[in-house]
Amino acid sequence: MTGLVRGNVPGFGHDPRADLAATAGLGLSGLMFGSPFEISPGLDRDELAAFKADADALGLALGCGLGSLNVARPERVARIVDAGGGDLRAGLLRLLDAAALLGARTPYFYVGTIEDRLYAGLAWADQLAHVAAVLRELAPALRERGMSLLVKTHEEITSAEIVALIEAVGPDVLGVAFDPVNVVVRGEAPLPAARRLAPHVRQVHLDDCDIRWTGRGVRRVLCPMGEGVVDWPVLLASFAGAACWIDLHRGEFDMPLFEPEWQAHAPGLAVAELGFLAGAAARAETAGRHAGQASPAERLQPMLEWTREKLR
Amino acid sequence: MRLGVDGRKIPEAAKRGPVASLDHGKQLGLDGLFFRTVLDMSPTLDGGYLRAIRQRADELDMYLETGLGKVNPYATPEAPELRQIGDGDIVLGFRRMMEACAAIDCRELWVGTANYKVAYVGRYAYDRFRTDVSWDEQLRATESFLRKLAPIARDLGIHINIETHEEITSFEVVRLVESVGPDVTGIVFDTANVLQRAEHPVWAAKRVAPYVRQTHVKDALVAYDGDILDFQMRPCGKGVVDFGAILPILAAARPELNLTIENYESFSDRPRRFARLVMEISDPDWLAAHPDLTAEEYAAYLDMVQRYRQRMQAEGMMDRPSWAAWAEQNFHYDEAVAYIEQSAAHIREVCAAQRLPLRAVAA
Repeated sequence: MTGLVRGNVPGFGHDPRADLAATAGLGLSGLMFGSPFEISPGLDRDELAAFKADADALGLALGCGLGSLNVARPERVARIVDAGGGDLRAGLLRLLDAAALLGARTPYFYVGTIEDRLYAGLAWADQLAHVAAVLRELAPALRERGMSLLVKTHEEITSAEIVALIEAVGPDVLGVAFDPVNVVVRGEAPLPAARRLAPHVRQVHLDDCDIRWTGRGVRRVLCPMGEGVVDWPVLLASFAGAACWIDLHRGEFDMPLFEPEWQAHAPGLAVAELGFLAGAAARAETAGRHAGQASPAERLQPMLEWTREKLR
Repeated sequence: MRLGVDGRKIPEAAKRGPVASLDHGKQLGLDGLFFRTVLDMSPTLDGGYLRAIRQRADELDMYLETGLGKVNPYATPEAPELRQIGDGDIVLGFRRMMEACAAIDCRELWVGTANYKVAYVGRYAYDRFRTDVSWDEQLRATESFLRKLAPIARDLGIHINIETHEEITSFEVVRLVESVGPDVTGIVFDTANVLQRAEHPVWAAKRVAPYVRQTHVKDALVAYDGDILDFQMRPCGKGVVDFGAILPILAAARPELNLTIENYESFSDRPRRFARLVMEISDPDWLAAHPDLTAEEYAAYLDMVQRYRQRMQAEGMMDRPSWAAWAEQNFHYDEAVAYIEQSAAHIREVCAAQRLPLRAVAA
């Protein structure tokens, strides 16, 4: 299964049905929504079922996310709480049911944003503990429904922290949406991160990136698929069977890894993985690759060609 | 502290011999010579000749430092003179060398753990990466041999000082000293060799400082070529080594320490092809061979390399290939002297700026 995240649909706009048609027109087999709210703001069951029927008619699978589940930052989960009439758990259950109606039985979420890791109001480890507590509470409901959640490798969280979260919640109800271009933002290399997460990976996000020096460390620069540092042939071989979603990112993140302050927020940094990033930056420098990143729209066509060639 | 120069690498060392080289060092405004081994001074351990060297050093009010040889039993076959001087018994050979040194009151004695293999570029130039015997086995054998020498050193009041040589890390040198005993062992801190083990010289200085008893003061270019780093010697102040940070650490630990400039060798003295030294700094296997290296020090090292790259651009410094080509053609007596003088000037400037106890140039 190779699908596309909705934000990458050419001409992506306000009409989810138009995005369905456009995705089918690209020859892809799925469309990933950021949240069921995008299809039905009121999470109306009939509306969601009708949309699923339309997707089925086009031969498209639907995926969906739940957004951020950082309950330690209430503003991140405000809409879910509203959907539950003021109760987070009730809102989450409504979202799960909505996802199930769409046929998305492994909805994914991300914990927070890169700012959350540095948030002075509550230590990152404590934020993670709150997230784990909510997920543990949700676990019986997931088991009843035969569903599981996937936590995305996102720029604020390390792969080791994800493994700890899965161990705290239960690997039967929590898996991984592996997005390798994000792990580099935490100073990790894609293959070692993949090895750490391998038993839990259910979904893979396709994109590629290169690394550049900055004055204070390195920068992630997104690049056309196959031209960057992610060893996709090896990754795909190790995650055979995982759903693949084209997810062309936008963020041009700096990793000031020479800064002790940055290191202080990056426990468990591995020399070999920093070496991977530094080596990539050095090769880019020697090869004279200085340009910034291409926009997601510019990278879609090479990605489609790559998926047609490699994923068939 | 006093500032001197390498007795083996000072230009025309072989031609002039040790006594005249002391005079040569004095002419260059230096306060001492550090002959790598006592066999460099006298291959037969001629007591009369060694006393003559000591006498000349004393007359010139210069320090005289020396050493023994390699102490890694897997490397000593590459230095057959060590066994020969003991008539086949290498421990006796070391005893004779140590007694000869003590007789001229040289009691801080350099030793090394392996020979750099100039024939190879990359990891196999370093015996750390030998494929027949692991580095751990070599370290164990080295420690065992040092333990055999320890009682002799104790009797003679000698410190056997292990160099932070190209193949060994400062972590490992410190562990050897602490294991064999700091009463009989110490460290020769080479300020640039540690770079070849991905160590930041300032971080290494902090680790070794309590045990440093001799030095090789030198500097180096470290610059990327693709994803490997090149290492090339530079006069002090012209490379990545921050002497302004290192010298106060060393001076605080041992104010009487002698600072010995190890200069790049004149091509007239030692005709050779330019040897390329590289660090496979991004290679996971190479990095895995440095288990003591932390992510924080590695990041500091990368930062140092990036800052140096900016400095090279800003100051229009010669890059590695240009300098190699220039040196192979042009680095002879005058250039080696200029290299030493430039290094000495930088060290004196740093010490003056920080009011470190470096003996002033004799009038």
